[in-house]
Amino acid sequence: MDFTGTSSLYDILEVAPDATPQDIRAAYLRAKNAYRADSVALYSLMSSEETHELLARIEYAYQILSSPERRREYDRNFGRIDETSHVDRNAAVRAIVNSDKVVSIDRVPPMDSSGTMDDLLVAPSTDFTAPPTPGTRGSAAVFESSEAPLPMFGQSAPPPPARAPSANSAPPADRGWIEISPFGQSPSSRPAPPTRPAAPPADAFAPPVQPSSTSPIAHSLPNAERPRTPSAAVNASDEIAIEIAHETDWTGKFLRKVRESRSVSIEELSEFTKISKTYLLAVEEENFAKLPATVYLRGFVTQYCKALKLPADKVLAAYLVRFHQARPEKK
Amino acid sequence: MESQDPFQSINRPTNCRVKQIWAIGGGKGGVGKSLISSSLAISLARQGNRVVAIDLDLGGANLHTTLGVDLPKYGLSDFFTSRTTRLDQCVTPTHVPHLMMISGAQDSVGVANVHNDMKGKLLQGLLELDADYLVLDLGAGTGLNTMDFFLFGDVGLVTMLPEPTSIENAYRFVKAAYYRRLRIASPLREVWHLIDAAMDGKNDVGIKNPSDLFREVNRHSPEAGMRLKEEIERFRPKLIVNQARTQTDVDIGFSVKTVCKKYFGVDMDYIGYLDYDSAVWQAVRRKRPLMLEFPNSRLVSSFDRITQYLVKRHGHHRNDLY
Repeated sequence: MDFTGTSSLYDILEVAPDATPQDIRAAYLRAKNAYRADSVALYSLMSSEETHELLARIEYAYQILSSPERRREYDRNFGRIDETSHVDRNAAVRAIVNSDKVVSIDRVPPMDSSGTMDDLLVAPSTDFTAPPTPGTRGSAAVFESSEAPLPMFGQSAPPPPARAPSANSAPPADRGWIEISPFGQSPSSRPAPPTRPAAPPADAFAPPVQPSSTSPIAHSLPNAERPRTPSAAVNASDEIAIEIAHETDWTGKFLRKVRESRSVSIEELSEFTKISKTYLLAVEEENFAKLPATVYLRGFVTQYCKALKLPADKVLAAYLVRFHQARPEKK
Repeated sequence: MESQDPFQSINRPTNCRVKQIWAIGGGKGGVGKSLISSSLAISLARQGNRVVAIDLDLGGANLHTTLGVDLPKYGLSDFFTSRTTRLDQCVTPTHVPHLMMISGAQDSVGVANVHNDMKGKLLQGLLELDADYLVLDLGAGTGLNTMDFFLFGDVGLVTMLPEPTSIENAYRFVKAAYYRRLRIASPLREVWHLIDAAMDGKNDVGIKNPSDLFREVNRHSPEAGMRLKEEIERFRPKLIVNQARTQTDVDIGFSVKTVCKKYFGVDMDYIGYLDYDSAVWQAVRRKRPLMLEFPNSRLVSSFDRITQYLVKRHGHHRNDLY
């Protein structure tokens, strides 16, 4: 029985919103069994039309929730993040603070001068403050600074025509790997192996970024060549690659630009690096007052660069100079 | 339809010993209510509790037989006809230490239709008994008295067999208890007319199922809708599947739970199933309690497990259920 009038997919399957895939599958099988046509448990209670409708809803709910990608998209659009962000700012903050993505307090000291809860929300352009766009209600992935909405993981922004040709050339093994990788992109936007040697200049610039690199991040993040359409993609990635090659300041702003050019949301980056979103945003905004001591910041920036395949040592050197200028007392 | 709250005149005595009342119902006859009642009572008594099992199957009492007791001298019929003035005069000892019983009405015609005053007196008397647990064995059917006895329990057990006739009656039983419970809940006073309509089934308001009722109540006033939701969520009958022969039979319990959640919005607790076992009829023919006659059967351990679960989970909170 539906008390709210708008039952979520989780309600339909009678699982908690944080249910594991195993739970969801078990619940699905249970529901299927309960409502199957010859189920004796329905006898005399429900009509066949009611059962039919229920079964259809169960199938639909399972279709969405059984796929990690579609489930994440659903969560983003209708799920918990969205609920909290628009109802109550503090609740949103609590959600961040309590979220398992936050680095535990054992690893990072408490933030300096974090007065009130509101202070924790640093960015003007986080997904929590971004206005909900119609269609993708409160999508957690709308960044104001990007010229066009970038194709997000799990969203269908890239135009379908771009997908078809290269998707076929992507080996199935690659596909599986991509789907589970935190920054997984659709196979379509990943260039076929033969084009990889023609990597952008950034590769030559930064040794750890060679295509032959064995780091899993390097495999999961071939983002330098992320295209929107094959030809435009080359141009766009070339541009950013050239910029990377010539960058010397490595400001937080530039780091964000690189991240956004690779269509990596702050959540995904946080999940991958296991660094809290708050700190990642503070790094990007160079909000030095909010950042912990140098030794921790060093780790943050290094992780950030590794995830985005940037030359960590160069970035660190340039970034820390500004940090020490801003907070000379903290060495 | 008697509409006043049958429990409103009942006061809990200050030195009440009764910790909890378990009521076992199921709608259909022959689904094992008496067997389960007697077995759970024995199991509870063996765990060191003082237990009184009460046969409330007023028209067809035979709990004494499943407990292996000869027809007691005094029973509920004496209480109803005022031959005994106090309920504790009807209490009969059994062969199991700590376990007593009150036999059902036997002979007096029309005693199955107990008047409301008498019902109140009986329920009041139950709370004054010198026992830790009371186990109520209810009769078949969905009569008003049966419903009220069921709702009077702190833990309500619904037992059913994995077959359509039994499931049909189990739903009928749950449905009757469900509406009866909403109907006597005073917080819902202002929407009683809607609940009456829902109980009718062929009403002109167009309320066909609990979802319709909730929608109509909400339309009446959202506040009443909230209260209705609260009342529904506090109704948590327990389910036992009896005579399970296969895994499919066992799974029916889960399906019924799922369906009840969807249809009634009720969280049924599927607390266990009982294997089909020919030891049962052998024990019944010998007029001996199963628990004593076949102490090593799987059924006995199932009963012990169910009892332990219920005590552990619900034993310390009166009114956990209602």
